[in-house]
Amino acid sequence: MRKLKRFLACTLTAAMFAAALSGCGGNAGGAASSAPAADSVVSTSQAEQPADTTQAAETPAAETPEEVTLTMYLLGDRTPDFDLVFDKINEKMKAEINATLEVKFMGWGEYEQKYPLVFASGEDFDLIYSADWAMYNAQASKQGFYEITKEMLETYAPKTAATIYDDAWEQSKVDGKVYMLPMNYKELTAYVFFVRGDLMEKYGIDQVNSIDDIEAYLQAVADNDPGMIPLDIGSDFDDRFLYDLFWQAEIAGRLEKVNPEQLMGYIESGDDSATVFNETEDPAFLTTVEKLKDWKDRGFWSKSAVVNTQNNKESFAAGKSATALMNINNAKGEYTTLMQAHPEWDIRVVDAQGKAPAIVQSYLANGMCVFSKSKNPERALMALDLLRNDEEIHDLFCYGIEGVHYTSLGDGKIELTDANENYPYDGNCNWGIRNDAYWKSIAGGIPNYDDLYDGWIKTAKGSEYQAFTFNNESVRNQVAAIGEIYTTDMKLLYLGFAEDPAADIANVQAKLEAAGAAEVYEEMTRQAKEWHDALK
Amino acid sequence: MKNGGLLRDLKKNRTKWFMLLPAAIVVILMCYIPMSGIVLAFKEFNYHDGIFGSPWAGLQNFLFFFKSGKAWAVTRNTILYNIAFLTVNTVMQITVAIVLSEITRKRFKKVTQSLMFLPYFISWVVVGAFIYNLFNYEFGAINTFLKQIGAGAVDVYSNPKAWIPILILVSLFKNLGYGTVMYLASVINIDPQLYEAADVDGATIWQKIRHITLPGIRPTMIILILLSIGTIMKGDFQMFWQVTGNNPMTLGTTDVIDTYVTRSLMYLQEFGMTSAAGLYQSVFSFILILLANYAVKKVEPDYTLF
Repeated sequence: MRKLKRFLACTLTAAMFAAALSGCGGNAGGAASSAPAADSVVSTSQAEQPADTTQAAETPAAETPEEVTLTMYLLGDRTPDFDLVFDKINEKMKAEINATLEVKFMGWGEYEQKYPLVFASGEDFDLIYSADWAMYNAQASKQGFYEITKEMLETYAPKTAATIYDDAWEQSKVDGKVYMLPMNYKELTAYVFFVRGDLMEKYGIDQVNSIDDIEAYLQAVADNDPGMIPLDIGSDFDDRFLYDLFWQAEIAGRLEKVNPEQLMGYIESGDDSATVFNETEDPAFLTTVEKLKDWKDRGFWSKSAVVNTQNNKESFAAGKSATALMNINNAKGEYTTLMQAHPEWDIRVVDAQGKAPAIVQSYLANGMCVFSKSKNPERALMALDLLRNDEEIHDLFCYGIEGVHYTSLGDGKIELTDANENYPYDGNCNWGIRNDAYWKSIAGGIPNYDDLYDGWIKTAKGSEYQAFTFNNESVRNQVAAIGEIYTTDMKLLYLGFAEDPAADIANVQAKLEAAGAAEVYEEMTRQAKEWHDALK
Repeated sequence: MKNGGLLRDLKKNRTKWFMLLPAAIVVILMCYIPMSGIVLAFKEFNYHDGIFGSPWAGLQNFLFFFKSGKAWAVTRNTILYNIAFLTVNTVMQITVAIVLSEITRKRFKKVTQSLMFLPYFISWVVVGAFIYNLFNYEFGAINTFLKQIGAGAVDVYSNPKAWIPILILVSLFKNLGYGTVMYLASVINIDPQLYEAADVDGATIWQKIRHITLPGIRPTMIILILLSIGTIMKGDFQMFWQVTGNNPMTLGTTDVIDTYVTRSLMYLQEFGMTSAAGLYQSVFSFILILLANYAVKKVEPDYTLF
């Protein structure tokens, strides 16, 4: 009996130990995967050696003896035909530079958390999509990206070296170093309203052309249709849309915006001292907030807008709201889809810019970067060169397979096929490699598009300080505190949620002062002036 | 240990030590080794130099937390909410466990138990969507109902006070089943002979609950409470963020340390500062749990954690 007990105890412990070991195997894997993070710190210093210009010159660019697989991170979701398109791209890549691309996606919902993690975790990847709004500065200043020099471009990406816009190259500098190949594409940002012709007819509105007409239309919907929200803007994507339109109209030609947006800095146009101040200090801010409050109080958007995380165009598409407000670049595709789904709505596209000039986007709005610990940075650059400058590859990535996803009409125009939804036009995070030289637009679509575009292009401009990037190292604590105010008190004002605009603004200003905004703007002024002086 | 020290004990009780090994390995791998990451709180992190190679930043990373003057308010909210959750959840869990144990119809008991357990598996994101569709001003279920019966609509999202009971109820909704099962297990473990003896003595059901059941589950109760005190400085981030919809209008009553830190650092992406906030929470939790354990030791030395 005693022997049996002992035997049982032994087998039990052995079993438990085995279980622990197998569990441990999983853990060890986890530990091992984090270990290379430390190792590769050492190995990158070696890996960087060949990238030195001296050695790079010795290795001819065309020489690609061993085959490599490059891992590329993109944002968004994998569309059904994505792999089909990339098989074609890889076929050509393999032939040209003996490399293939393996693409991984970070969904929109998770990218804010996951993006910094792939850098920190020591994961092995080579290329990643980046943008001024997608943490380019944050990662670049933490040495997350591989520095790209002109010499390297000439060796490994000669076509890019020849075609990249000078402005684009200058804008991508962080502390004087370039870490990104921004899109070679001039993007105009302008907003449009979608309004419904059937509702206009119902409420006896003849035409909607200006902001004032929009106001009347929204009022008509608010008065007559309690089941419908006139314009369903919320707190996530579109919290600033209307504010920006009103505000830009007020400050056009008077103030220059300084990035990043959440620090709310502005400089007076033509001010050589480059004194940065907070947007709430300008008297026009009060006017803007009062107008927003007025619209909100009249029920133009939901009383629960601050917790609504849906994009307003989704509400519109679902028939829950009467107006949609969006960027013209989204509007093109959206219009086609909606006109097919609801021809009876008779959607009209209305210019939302009014007096506010359209904005020429910074090139940094989209770009591609090489990971600082990539094992094949040279090949990564060669791949980028092809993606950007090889017309066939560029077109595959941007529009899909000709004859399957689109048909070319010549003259830079294309027509979308039914299969396009499996690889949407310009909708596969291809934005970082867009190239004006090969750009094709959809024929048809918004009927008054050319009129709208002509109106915008006349006055379109970028901020004087668009290419300036603020290095927040010395004031990080203040920046964090201001960031918090930006996502709370300011968000309320942007959506018109103010009891008493003047008092609320004074309250925000007091909070900003306590957060140390003065120190931030002082540092910003210093850097902006330095940058401004260097331009002359 | 008294005679011969650790080595001798290792030899003498080797089977016991052996059985402890798996748990010890897991704790060391998953808790103690990662703990060295605390050093991040004092570093100015960059990818190239890694966690240990990055330059030191002193106490710089802690400053942002106190900069806005909200540190006290969010710490207070975190602690008060957790105390409220702890009290309400524990009382309700014990009540339900006792009621369930008194029910003799097996099927009804099982179904109720499973139904109460279900919310534990629902993600906070989904709960957040429920809440939004309940309280939305224009088309939320509650306002639609109020309009139907001719009453005025209520605007919950601009009313900070309303969120205190909502959050407490939501926490109860999610955790009731889980805790109930724990207490139920402990109630079932009470020796049935005690109840039989009480029956013979003619005790009422209330007397049996008061004098047998409650004292019987006291050890479980104390250990569960002590464990919860360990997390009293940590706001359940998902819950506060998703259920309130990160609503700036009600922050006065709904902002906890975790949501505040997330909002502050969303754009900055500073690992050092986030670690600093985490360290602040952990150190205070550690002190609180030591104090609580000490207090328990004074009253009931048998039930302490250590």
